[in-house]
Amino acid sequence: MRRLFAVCQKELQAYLWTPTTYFALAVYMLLTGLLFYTNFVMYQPSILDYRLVLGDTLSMLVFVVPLLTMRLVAEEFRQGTDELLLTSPVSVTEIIIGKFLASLGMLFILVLCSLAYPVVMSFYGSLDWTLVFTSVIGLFMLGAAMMAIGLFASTLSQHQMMSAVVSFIILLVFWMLDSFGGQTGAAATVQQWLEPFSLTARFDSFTKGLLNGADVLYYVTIAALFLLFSIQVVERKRWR
Amino acid sequence: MKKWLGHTNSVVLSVAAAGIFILLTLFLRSLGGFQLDLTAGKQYTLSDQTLTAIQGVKEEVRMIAFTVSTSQNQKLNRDVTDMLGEYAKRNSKLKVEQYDLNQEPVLAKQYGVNAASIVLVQGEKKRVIDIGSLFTQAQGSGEGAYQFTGEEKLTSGLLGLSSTRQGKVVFLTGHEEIPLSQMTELSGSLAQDNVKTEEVQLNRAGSVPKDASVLAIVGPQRDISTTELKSIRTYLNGGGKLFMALGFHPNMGSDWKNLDALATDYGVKDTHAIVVDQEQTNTLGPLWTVPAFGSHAITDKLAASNLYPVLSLSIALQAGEQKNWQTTSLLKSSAASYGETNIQGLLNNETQKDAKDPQGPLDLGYAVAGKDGKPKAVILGTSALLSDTEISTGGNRDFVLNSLNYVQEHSDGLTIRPRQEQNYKVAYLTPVQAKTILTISVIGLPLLFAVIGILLWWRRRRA
Repeated sequence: MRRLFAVCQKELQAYLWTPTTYFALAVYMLLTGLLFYTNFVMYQPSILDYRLVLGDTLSMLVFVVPLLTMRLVAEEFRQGTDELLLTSPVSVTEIIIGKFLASLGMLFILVLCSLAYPVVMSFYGSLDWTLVFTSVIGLFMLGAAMMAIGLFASTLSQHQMMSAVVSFIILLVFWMLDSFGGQTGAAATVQQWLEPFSLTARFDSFTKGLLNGADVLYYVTIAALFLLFSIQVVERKRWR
Repeated sequence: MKKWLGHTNSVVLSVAAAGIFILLTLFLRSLGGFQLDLTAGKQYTLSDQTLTAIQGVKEEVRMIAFTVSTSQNQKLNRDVTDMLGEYAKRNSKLKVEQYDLNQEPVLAKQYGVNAASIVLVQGEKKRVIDIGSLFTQAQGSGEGAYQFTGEEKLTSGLLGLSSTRQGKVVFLTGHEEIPLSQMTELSGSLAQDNVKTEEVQLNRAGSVPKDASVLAIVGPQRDISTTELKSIRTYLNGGGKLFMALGFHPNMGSDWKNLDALATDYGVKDTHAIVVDQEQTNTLGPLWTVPAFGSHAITDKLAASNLYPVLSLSIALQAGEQKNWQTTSLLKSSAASYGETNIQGLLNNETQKDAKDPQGPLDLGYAVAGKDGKPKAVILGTSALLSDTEISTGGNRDFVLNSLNYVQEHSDGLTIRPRQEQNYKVAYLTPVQAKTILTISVIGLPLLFAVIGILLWWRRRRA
């Protein structure tokens, strides 16, 4: 456990001392800020409902998460420090979970930044804070699942940009799983089978003020699955 | 060999984990509404009746929402789609489809829809629910508040699809009763429960149709003839059921001999006194009564939900001695009320209690059952609550539907409390406020992170 936290601490420091992190956050805040401004201010009267704003800003995660996770493992491969890590007393599981916890730390900062929008909205009228609270929980869970996917993509290559692209593609596929089918015939059957695995469809209940057991467990299990995949990919190095 | 085993282990483990993830996701989804509802008023917690109805769906039902998107009705459309989603979560046989009515006019036409509606389709069977009818203005709950009766209508529609029972409520005409054309909401609600409605003029038809499950007499202004009374008695003596809702008429005291005789057959006496209630009333005045409930299958669930009807110009009734029937009071005015017998005075806006006027609490409606407890009739001293203009007020619709379900011996009549909702809260921003928001959200916050990033980059470069 101590080793796990040591990895986490090291990664978190790496995050906080890397300019890329802040550029990624700046891009995220710029894009979400623009969407917030368009939704909340451009159409008058302004509607005081966080759900309407959150819906659009959410998609920005697909772009930002790969930027935040791309270096997690790929950088170790590129610099050759993976050899050191794999021969150290720290297990691969501890390395991966430590890195994942560090990415959750970053995610926490990102979610805190997103809270700026409901706070701004609350200056202009009363807001349903229960919905904000459940939405933030949902945002964190969705983000955590996405971070795990990004971490997995980072284990696949030593090139950060390649990892980011792979991560973006996987996230995009999971994001759009509920729109691949159709509403009638065989396409509807395809949709019916794919929809439960969609990252976005699972988010809806959080924004309504619901904590749905199936949705919470979906995000937890998808994160666990990709962490396991990441561990297996890194473990492969041992057998080379 | 060791390397090969390691790889195989890794692949097997990963495939097994992916399989478990897929199965677990599908299984948990099939469990449906395993959730914590943190919303005010538990907006997404479905009633037991709805959950039973949903579990009862064995064949696939398509729930097709044809919505019309405008900036004004975004919230209403969302209420509808959220509700459909909550139903679909709980039974995989329920499939939700949503279309914009204006973009899919051909598809809408296939289902005979030309206004925003929910269409329930199960095989060849179909139910159409008008989305407009799901929303009513909430009374006295502040600006932007409304009531959403979607759960009641949708559950009722689902039950209607699978129900094999049939019923027919025949409405008497020819005495200036409230016509069916002014009770479209009621007939729509009955249709959802597979209960047909039709009008009959006894002078023409000669007798009450044999397939009528109930004869309804709603708001007659003139008395029925002796021949008509005879036909009605023949129908009722042959096992027919009666739903009688009287309404105010200036000459009711002198003219309603046969109507009164019909009520008296079942132990109910019409006092011809109009209830004046200063205590259990609403803002419209003392001629509007919000009655207390008597204990009965019709009213018990409504009382538990605080869903009270709002009645206008009610006639006080009395239960007389009757050997063959059990009469149970359904509605009562307050103890402070009285029955105005001076109708001319009332018409001239002059009303005060005098010696002739009966003192409250007064009975405004009775359920009548045989000695064996079998429902026979519901007799009310008021009728306007059935009309389109008043049926959505308070618990009127629930009370009327429960009463009609009771006389037809449909014990599973629905009483689902409408949800009180608030429309979007809005704010009108000034140009200065808009500029402030722009500065904070689009310039300030991104710039803050960009500056930190540049400083770090610069520091690292120098180090």
